[in-house]
Amino acid sequence: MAPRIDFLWRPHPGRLRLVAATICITCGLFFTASSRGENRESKILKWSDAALDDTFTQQDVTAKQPRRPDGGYDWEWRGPKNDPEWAWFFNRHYAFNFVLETWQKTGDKRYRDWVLATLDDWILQHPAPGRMTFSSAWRPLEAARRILGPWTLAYRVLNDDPAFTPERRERFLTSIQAHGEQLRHHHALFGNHLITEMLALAQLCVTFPANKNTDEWLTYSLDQLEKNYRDQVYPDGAYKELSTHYQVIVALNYQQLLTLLTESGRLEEARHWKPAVDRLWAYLQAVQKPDGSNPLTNDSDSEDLQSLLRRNAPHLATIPSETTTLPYAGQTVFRSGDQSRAQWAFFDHGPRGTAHQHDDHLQFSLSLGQRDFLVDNGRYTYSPGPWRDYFAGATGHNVLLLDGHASDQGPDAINPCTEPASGLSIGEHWETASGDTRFALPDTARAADWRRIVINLRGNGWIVLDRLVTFAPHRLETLWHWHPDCEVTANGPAGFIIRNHEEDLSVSFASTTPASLTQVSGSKQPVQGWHSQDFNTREPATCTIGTQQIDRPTLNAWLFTPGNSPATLQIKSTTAQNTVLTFMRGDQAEELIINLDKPGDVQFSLK
Amino acid sequence: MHRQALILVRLLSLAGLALSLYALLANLAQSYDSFNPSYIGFFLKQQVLRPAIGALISLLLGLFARRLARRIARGTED
Repeated sequence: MAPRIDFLWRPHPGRLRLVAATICITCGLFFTASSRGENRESKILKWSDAALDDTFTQQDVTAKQPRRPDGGYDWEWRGPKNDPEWAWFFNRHYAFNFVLETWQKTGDKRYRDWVLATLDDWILQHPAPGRMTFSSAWRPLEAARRILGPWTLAYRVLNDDPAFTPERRERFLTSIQAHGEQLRHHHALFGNHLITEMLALAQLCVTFPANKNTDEWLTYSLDQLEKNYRDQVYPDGAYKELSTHYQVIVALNYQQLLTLLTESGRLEEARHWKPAVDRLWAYLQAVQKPDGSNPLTNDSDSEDLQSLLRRNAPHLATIPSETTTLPYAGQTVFRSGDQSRAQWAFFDHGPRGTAHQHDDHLQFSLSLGQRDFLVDNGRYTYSPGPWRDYFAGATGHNVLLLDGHASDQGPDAINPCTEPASGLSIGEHWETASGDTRFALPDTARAADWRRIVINLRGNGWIVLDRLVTFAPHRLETLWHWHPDCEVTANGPAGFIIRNHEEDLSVSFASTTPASLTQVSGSKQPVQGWHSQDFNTREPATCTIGTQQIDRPTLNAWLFTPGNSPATLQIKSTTAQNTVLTFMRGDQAEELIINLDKPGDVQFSLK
Repeated sequence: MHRQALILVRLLSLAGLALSLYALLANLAQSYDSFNPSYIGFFLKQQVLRPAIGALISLLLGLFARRLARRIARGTED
């Protein structure tokens, strides 16, 4: 045997190595795929068994759903946190999706019977109200979600099952007709809900064509989807709520419309819609971070944009390498560094968003490679109170506060007829964007003017300049929210090093007014130093707060440099026209002259 | 009636003028040490504009007091 291998090895070592590597990779892929499959299957089985035991997990909260004395579910129960979101989600019947899958895989009738009993109970308890309502069962969005997923699936899976008796089918189809009437005549007036509801109405017409009025409903829903795309999506592809989470929902809805049109033979309409749907995905491609996830703008949770793009728009699934600006959304995405350790920074200087807004005007976020550093903190909850105030308010963002107040947040939306100036200037060694706002206090309509300028040093870091012009005494706070995985270590009185796993970031601060820098993490009173990746979950995260007492125009300069070698920054001189900054990175001293009134006017010199 | 209306309008004008001048002087006194000619545009907008508009409206009220009083009193004379 040994001589034979030797005989093969000597003349073709490369080929043998290739064969060995191929065998290893194939085995690896096989085991990974099979273990993933097992994981998914065991999870679905676990969730299905829990459902049979009345235990459900919704939006990361697990609870046992109470039943009424007659045995049916209490459909109005608001969950362990007394949150209306629980009741709305429970009435969407998402559990049907995995319980029906388990029934198909196992053939165990308990799963099928649970779905049928739950359907019987829900239909019996909830005749259509025939008016607009925000009730747990008949808010139009819940009606739409039932049609788009669980009910359509239930019909497809159970239609030929003997347990789906003619009486049951009759009751089910009557309720489907009622869903159609509700969605046609009592839908939302605007926003992402309206888009979902019209998509559901279109799907209902295609899936249940024998129902009454489906021709008129289908025409109406397609007209509404077209009109709302025009009204709610900017020419740069940004959905006007300016939340990446709702952007995903709207993009998925219109993607599903494409599928619906294609499957129902309306190929011309599908072709007409394709570029519009691609624009929605292109926006997500433009803003995605190097790890393929999304910035948590406005009310957002963390999403895997890479997977979504690969599945729905594979031609847009690459991560861009060039800096880009989205003029209507008013967002600049700075990109630099090489592909393996890409640098990403996000600057929001545009409109606020038409719904789900946060006080995040002039927010700056930053990631290095696969690691987040400066972050937008997510949404956590919709229940009014201190937590909602924190996550939606300015205190949860990387912005300035004047006497504890947020700045003016600008308009909710801008007129899409004329393209706004991008604000992005590109030089040989730098890129810069800027945004402006002002502070109105209860007793002063215009207490201060704030201009934030972000300069990307193309792979060598970022400078953030905050010019605050005021002529009266105020307390100014600068907030920098770090990702929960970041460790913040002080490095002298005006600097610190941030470490997130293998990535480091050096931060240096200079100002024309003395400042004190403090770190806060996980404070409940007042709420500060928290981050939420997903709805209903939160974790402590460090927030750096720079506090200053100011009574005259002030310039703050922050230098963020990749790596752990300390960088120093100095404001050499400043007037309204020219500001001279010097900074040391390693053994290099550089001077930057910037005209604060014309942020694109930047000069660099190396000393 | 016309006389009373005239007195009222002039009183209003005078009160407005006094209040505006007070606001302007207070703003200037509070911010004279932080004044920087480089930021003159911001200074005018934040510290001067509102009281100046108040003073201007009060002056106009004083200037057109007779005409306004006549209009206010129209139809009330016996």
